[in-house]
Amino acid sequence: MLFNSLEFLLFLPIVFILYWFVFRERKWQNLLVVVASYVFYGWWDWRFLLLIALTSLCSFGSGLLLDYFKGQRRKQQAVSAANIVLNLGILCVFKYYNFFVENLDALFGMMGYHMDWVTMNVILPVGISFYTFQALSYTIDVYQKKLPATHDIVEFFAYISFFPQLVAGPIERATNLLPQFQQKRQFDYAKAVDGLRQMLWGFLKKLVVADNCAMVVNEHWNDYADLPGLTLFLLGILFSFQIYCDFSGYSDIAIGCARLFGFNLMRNFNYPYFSRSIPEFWRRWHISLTTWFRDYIYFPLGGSRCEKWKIIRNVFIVWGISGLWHGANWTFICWGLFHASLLAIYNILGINTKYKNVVAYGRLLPDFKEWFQMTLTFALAVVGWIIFRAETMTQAVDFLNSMVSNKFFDASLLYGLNYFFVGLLLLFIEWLQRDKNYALQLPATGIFQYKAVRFSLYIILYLVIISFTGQSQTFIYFQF
Amino acid sequence: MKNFLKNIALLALLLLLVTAIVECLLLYRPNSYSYKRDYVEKNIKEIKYLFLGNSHIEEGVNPSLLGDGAFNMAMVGRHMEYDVELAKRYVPQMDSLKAVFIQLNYGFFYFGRESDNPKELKKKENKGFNLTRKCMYSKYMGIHVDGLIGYLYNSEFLCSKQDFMSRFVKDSTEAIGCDSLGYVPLKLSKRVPQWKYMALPKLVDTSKKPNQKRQDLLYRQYSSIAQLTKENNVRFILLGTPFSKTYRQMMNPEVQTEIDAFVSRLQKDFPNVEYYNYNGDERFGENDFCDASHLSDVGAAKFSRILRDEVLNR
Repeated sequence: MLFNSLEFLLFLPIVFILYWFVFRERKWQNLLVVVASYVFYGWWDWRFLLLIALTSLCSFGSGLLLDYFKGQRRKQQAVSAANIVLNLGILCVFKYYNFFVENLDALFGMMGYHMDWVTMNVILPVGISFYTFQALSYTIDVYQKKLPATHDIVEFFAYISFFPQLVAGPIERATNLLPQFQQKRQFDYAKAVDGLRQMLWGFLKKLVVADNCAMVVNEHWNDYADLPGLTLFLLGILFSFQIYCDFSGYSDIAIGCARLFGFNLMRNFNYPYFSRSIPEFWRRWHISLTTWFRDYIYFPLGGSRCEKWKIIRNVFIVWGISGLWHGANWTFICWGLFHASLLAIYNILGINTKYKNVVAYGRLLPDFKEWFQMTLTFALAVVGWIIFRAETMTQAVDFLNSMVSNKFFDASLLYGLNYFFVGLLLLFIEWLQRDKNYALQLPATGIFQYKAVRFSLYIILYLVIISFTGQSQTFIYFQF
Repeated sequence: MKNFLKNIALLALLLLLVTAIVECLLLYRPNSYSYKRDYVEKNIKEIKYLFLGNSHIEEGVNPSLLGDGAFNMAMVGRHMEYDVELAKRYVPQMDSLKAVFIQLNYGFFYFGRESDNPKELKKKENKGFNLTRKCMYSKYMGIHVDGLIGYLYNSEFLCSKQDFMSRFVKDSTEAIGCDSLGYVPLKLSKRVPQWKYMALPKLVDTSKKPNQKRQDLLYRQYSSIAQLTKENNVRFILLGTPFSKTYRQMMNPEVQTEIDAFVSRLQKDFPNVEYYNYNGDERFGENDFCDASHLSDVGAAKFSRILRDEVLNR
């Protein structure tokens, strides 16, 4: 079920009413969350519910075993390793099998061997990378004694399948979300209203900006050989707007929706296009994934507390895997390695941990240096997104090459300029609200304390969404 | 919680009210569906040549070049069921009507044997177009193909994927989207570089059995218009619109044989049926096309003159 669908418009109030009025006991609420989440996911393809159930069951079982083997570190290691291998195995079969087979075939082919590989026509289950990582985080956290294993299968299934964030994150940590399923939830008026506002902002980003940019990008992306350089750069920017508004829009809707049910999900985006450096960008973009990689791969590899060359190696390992996480395609791996190279440069220069505060805090506009830094970071991100969006690396290279080698400007071929300005307007609003969790977080003082003003704003945003909604597109990150 | 529900209910009511107001106001903003219906109803006694069908006709025939009394009522993406309904409604009332034109599309004859053409560049996504079409025909043309349920489609907010709110800011001509005689010109100057690989035919495997139900349905649909026109002493003209070379190269010749058999059967049952196939007409060159199967404004002018000289004046 998509958030931007009529079904969800009916689904959400039904679940909300059942949750707060019918199933008021915590355990029943958890069970309702599981049932609702399975309906939500099964709406897309019920067959893959078995896969989520299997992932959940294995991770739950591993937690119980870890508890059972308390004090026996070897056995605990074996249990954790088995669960990690199993979960990653499922992920690899569904997501990477064909990719590896095709590439091995090509490799052996180059050496003159022909192997009879069997490729499978498998459908990629929506959100598999998200819930697999969430399941892994539980096992690792229990193994690392950050969290006691749960003995309640319902609350664990609810944790893995919680519908707001099931298919595209934020990838929750067991240490944050699981305890929330273990506590009694009280309805909090302010939290619920805040959640709805965040959902509204998410819908605006997705339906007005992302879907409209997607229409232009999808229509013209493959014409790069014939389009002027400026148009190609504009398409790159539009895709950057699209992917940001699509994914952060989804996260806003997910976080807002969870708040309606009394849950606090982790923040996933923190105005990444206002970053002054690439390391800062990655502290602000898809935070739940980057921190997952940081905690479960980068730190165990030694993180930044080792020799310089090892740090660089760690960065490349993490970003290679991060690229592969996004999809079974060389473009994603190269995109990851492109960012690894940039991060390595910042690391060598020793400025990778700079800029943790809000840019131009207390000022309306940034100074010249900040402008320059933000523009440079954005331009680098755009180059990365072009690689990310391309279907093959050849296309990515050709696209980037065409940007500089084609005729630079032709007014008649300048597509999507209107949506560029719409994207800029959205960024401007976010700039004004950059110290808030999301741009529509209204202060309880000033004119917004009046209900009439707030309601008028909601109606205006509703009309904006209705008026400028592009053709419905699925969320980009569903494919990961 | 009480307070929350109260506020949500109030906001929902306000949004519903706003929606209802906008939905009603939209009725007063012109669009191609309401325009074509109004035009036909206002000029029902003057129309001599009525063009039905989909984009191949809507964008391919310029009635202003055909002389008085021609009107292009075709519409992009229209299914035959709507053409039948329109013909049933208007043909008996058109006293001056001499001919009804409709295209006989190669694409109508896939009958479930088609597969995607790997050479085709799919540019525009038409997600939700079916629902939009149902909505527009229901709301502005009064055609409810699904019976009473069809009235539910009247809400553009719920069903339309078109940019309907922009009709409030567009001037009337722009909002209508076609010229005064229903023609939509596709400017050659706006043709995209890969036009030859857009709107190509699907690949048809004629070794497979065609879907009999769909075959029968298509015959019934053409027959019902043929019957109507026969009863009203009107010519019923089937047109094969011009196709570009890239399109023709990907056509399966056996399908053309099936089309010819279909026409022969129809002509046997209804002698007023005429068939003019311009699919492979060599008079149409590259500049006459906007994509592989739709005429540009230049091509449409040429095709309209050919129709005037070779079909109307016959």
